[in-house]
Amino acid sequence: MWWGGRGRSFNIPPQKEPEMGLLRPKSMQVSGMEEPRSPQNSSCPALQYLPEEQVLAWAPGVRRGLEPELPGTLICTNLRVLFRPQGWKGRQDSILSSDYDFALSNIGRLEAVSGLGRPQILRPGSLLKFVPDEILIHGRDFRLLRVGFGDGGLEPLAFRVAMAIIQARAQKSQAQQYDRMTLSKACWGLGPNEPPVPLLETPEDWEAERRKHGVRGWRVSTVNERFDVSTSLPRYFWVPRRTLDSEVRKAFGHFHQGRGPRLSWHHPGGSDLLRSGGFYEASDPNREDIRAVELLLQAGHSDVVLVDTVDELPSLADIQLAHLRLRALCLPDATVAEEKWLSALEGTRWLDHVRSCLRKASDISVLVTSRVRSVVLQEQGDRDLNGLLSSLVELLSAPGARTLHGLQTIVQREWVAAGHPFLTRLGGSGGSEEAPVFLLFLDCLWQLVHQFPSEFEFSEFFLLALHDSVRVPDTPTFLRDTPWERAKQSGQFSSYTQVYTPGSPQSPVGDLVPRPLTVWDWGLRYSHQQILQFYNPCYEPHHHSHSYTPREQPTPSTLGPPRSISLFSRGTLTPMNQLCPWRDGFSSLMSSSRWFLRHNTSSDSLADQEWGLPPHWGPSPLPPGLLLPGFLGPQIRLWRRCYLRGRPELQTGLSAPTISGLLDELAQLQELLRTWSSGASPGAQTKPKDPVTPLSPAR
Amino acid sequence: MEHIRTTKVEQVKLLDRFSTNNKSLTGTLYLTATHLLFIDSLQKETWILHHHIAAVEKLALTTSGCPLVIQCKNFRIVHFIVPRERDCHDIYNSLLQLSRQAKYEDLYAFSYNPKQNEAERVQGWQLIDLAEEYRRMGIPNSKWQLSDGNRDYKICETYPRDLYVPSTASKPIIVGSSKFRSKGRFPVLSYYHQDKAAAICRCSQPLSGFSARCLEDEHMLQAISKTNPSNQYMYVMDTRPKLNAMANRAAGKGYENEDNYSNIRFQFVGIENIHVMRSSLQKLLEVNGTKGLSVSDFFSGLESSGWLRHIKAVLDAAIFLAKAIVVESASVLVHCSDGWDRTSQVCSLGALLLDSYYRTIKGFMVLIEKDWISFGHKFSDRCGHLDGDPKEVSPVFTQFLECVWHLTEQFPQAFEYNEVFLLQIHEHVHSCQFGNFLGNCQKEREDLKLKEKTYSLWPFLLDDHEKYLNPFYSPSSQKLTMLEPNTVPFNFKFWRNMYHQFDRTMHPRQSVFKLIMNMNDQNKQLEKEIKELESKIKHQKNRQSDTVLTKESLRSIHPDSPTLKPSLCFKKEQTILPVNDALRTIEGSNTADNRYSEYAEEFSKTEPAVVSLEYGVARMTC
Repeated sequence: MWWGGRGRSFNIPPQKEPEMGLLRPKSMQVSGMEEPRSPQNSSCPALQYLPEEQVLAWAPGVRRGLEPELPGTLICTNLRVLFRPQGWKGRQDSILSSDYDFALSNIGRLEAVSGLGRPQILRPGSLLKFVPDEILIHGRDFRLLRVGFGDGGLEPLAFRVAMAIIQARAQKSQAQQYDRMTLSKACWGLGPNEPPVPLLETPEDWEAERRKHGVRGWRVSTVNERFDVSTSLPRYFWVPRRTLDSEVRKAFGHFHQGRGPRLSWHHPGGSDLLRSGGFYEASDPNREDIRAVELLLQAGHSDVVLVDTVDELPSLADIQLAHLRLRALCLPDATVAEEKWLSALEGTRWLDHVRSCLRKASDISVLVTSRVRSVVLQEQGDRDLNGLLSSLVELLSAPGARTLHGLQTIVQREWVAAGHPFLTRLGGSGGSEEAPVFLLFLDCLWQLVHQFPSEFEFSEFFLLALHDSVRVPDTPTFLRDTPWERAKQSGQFSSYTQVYTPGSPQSPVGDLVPRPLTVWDWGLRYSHQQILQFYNPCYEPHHHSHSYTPREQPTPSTLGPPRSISLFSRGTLTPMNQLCPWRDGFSSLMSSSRWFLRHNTSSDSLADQEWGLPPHWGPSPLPPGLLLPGFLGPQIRLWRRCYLRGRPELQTGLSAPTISGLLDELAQLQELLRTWSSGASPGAQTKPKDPVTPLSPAR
Repeated sequence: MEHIRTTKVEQVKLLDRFSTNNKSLTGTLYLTATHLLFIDSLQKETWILHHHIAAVEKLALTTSGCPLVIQCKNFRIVHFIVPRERDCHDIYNSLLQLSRQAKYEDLYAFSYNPKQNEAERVQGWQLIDLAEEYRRMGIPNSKWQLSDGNRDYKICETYPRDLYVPSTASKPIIVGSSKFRSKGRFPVLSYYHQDKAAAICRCSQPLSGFSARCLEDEHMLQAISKTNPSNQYMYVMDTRPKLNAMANRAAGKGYENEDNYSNIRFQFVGIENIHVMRSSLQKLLEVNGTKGLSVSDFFSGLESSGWLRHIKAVLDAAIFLAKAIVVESASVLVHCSDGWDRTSQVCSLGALLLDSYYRTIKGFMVLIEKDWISFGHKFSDRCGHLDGDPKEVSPVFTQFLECVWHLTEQFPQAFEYNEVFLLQIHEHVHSCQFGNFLGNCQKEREDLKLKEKTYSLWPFLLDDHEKYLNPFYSPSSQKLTMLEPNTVPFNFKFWRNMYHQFDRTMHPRQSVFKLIMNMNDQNKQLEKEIKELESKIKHQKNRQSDTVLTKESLRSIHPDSPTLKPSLCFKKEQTILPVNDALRTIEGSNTADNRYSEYAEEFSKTEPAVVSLEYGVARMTC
């Protein structure tokens, strides 16, 4: 049945002119088409296309929903749907735009509206039954694009572009990636002034990171170089210096998916944060293997705390459910009664999950900071919440990690290299194991940025950029499940079938092949101006210098059985008899039970126990650099700029907040003054006495 | 003084309200004639004014001592543990007496001496002149005049002496109308919108019952609608829910019958009464006082308290009012039951939305003075200044401040004042330290001779005005720019800095506001330095006839400017969301706002450097 929006009807079988869609708009000639605005030659061809990208259909339209309305062109290609405002000048370096590009896999819902009728939801494969007045593209990243089509003979184009999007979505595959994109060197990373993010694909990267953290008792292990210990582990990781690679290989075999305990991060105070998969209970290790496992967990410390990661944290299914509910709630047409908004928000449980993550991370930071010990995060798979916790703990306890570079390094190390299954978790593989753990992490991080506005070098906009990047298939960073897949794809893996010779640089390949793009190459999608917004204007790197004096460095000679082993669970430390679930492990001597008893008898938060008063009373008794976030009900906020982006009501007011507006002006003036006073003021002071002297040395 | 038996108790513990494990600070508690003072072991002082105390409660004796919980009107809640029960009992009794005075003369304002001389005090009271304010609106004019009918409070005791009415309304009409209105509060002018020639008028409910009508009152409304040349209709807003208004008819009161009045459009807006508001706030405070408050408890509690819904209702009414005036150029008459609670809220918020003057520090004082103090909002009853009927207490004014706060959140650049200003006003509405808010109406204040015996709050706020400045304020060029707030539910947030003002646990660990104020200070310092440098350069130029040398000296700076440019491109309009604003992207590509890049270029050209720098500074300061 065909019917038109305003009583008119159209009958445009899309199959009649199939060749039309494949043409570039440049050569497209629609007879009798009225061109209301500038000729199409100027709007469409200005667009640079990706390699292998084909334009399927396009139509002139008006971006709606936000003031002002913006004329432009809606284009559907085999890779993405994009809107190009009229007169948009593509930047030289960047082909993609963070504002108007929707990768096909990012389209969560497509709606067509005609007249006053109910919007029709267009699923892949469904048929559009009318000529749309307006198309709404709901991104799975909470963005919304509303494009309206005027009349004036443009309806066929509007219909065609809508059909093209439907068909393109039906054919898309998640793992599809924008291929062979290149970027000029100037746009790599955050810009030429920032150090590149270590990709941790070479032992040199790991060694450099190790040195940077001042980790002494650890070394880079190459045991997984061919991914034969575990495909989900990075090729290199840190293990205790005194453990041999053969021991590592044997010990890791007794862990779930071969993911044994590895160093995640070394606290400058001396503690080590380890992450590990669950014990593989069915295995039957011999005595030496158990000994090796224990040495790995103990990591040269006399205090070992095993943290049951999933305890008190939401399950993957919980996270996914909460996120789905949140997305449904934040849709512009969400049918939530006005007075029920708060309970609907609460009902998503998303904020509650954020709270429990923050709480647990803050407790673990206390464990790591308060005394020198080995803290082992243990999660069955070691690929989801372990990454979330270890990243948060590092950000909470180490001021140095709170820079843009620091955060990117953490994400690269604890998520990308550590094998977080991005593709599966973000719904790319179509399986049922979807759970946006990484997005939960970003929300936790936003809460921290919100609570400590001057502690982080990155701004909310950077977190948004990271949030939006997970669904853009421009780089393989977030498009793979394991480091192994990533290495296979980038073609480097083949070079490792050769015999490894220690000491020789591993990848001379990097010089020949163009450097593979990563998500950290922000220039791909963000303009220079946008990248500048990634910096938090309020950032004060005041206690950047490590004021930690390493306490009680573990002396390798005293290595014996650990003095204390405890399990951190439900907010308290419980003593354990042995580290491993198998028999024959050495048991704890229970000599320092004083420490446990104190913990068992009180339900205090860990910070209270360690430093007495809660941190908000009187002068802060906290160790320098440690942040303890608040996690009471009113302190957890909704990330409105992210989740409510599709709601035009959010943008009201005479003008949007301009905290940074004011601050830039200040920064610019400061900069100018600095330039000026360094150049002019010494002269200004001396010149009245002797006008020639300050300038004469230059001659 | 006769109420104080114990002046000092040692070894008192102050409990943290939100800690689940009863953490405490130990210190000494002092009781003075005006304040309760706690000095903890870290020498931090906590002062509590007796008048701020809303409730004192002595809980059951525990092993560590006798718990004493004090709830304050400024939402401070302290939980002491006094070691000996007798001390606790003494303090409890003293506080009960001191916090509930029976006579106005015993309030702090009558003894408070801020070391001002008599002339300064008189000047302070003259700071706000309502006649001047009406002149600012263009009143009196040919349509509106000052009525002397209420000179001696003969027509309405709770109204001020000076009232503005339509020129065509004769005294018999005024008197007749006042007899038909509850408490004699007949329709008078509250705000006049000069551009639209439309007026906001206020009154109380008519004594219409089921059928009564009053010709004078009908004439009065007609006279008001005739003052507006562009729209013959006028709105009559009844701010009550329809059900409440109908119930009032049984008591011989009620609402206007559209058939009896020509050219009115009648509208209910449904703001609940003072009792609903009071219990709503109580629920809100209960929820937020919970120890270890979880996310879900907080949200469900916040919703079931209904507080934000009430705030939204008040704001919606004000928006309706403002739109009627701006969009339809219609005059509006606002009333509720007695016309001193909801009517004050809606009239003042409506005027705030319409007139940017009220968004300045001085203007906001004028607004409170006009729509709240002079028109007889019963501050003493509503705030419980004296020991009186607890049913009369209601957070009506707090709600008004919260509505204003929500507006400041939605329009960060539109207000000259900041949150601290609102909090400070709230503090003093309850403190009884200044005379402004004592009493229930102007007549009562005159009888109390407040202007002779007490001080006015406003000059003290003005002296401190730097503390209350909003760093983002950019005054609009037009006098009358209407704010159009959006009242979708997610725009309403819990006002943490009000209701958890004293609970530092709940605050972000760092305040953006403070950071920005610090930067502002730095900014000013830098501006000063720039000026100094400028004058030095000028001085130097005068001394130097050899211009080549100057050129050289300035060129030496030039190599630095390329590194400067990245930051120069960082524009104000770029700082919103990258996703939201499309135009920005287009403009961004050709660097629309190039004042700083111009500035940098100019800078390298030597001669006009000083001029362009001045330009930059001017932009900073304006």
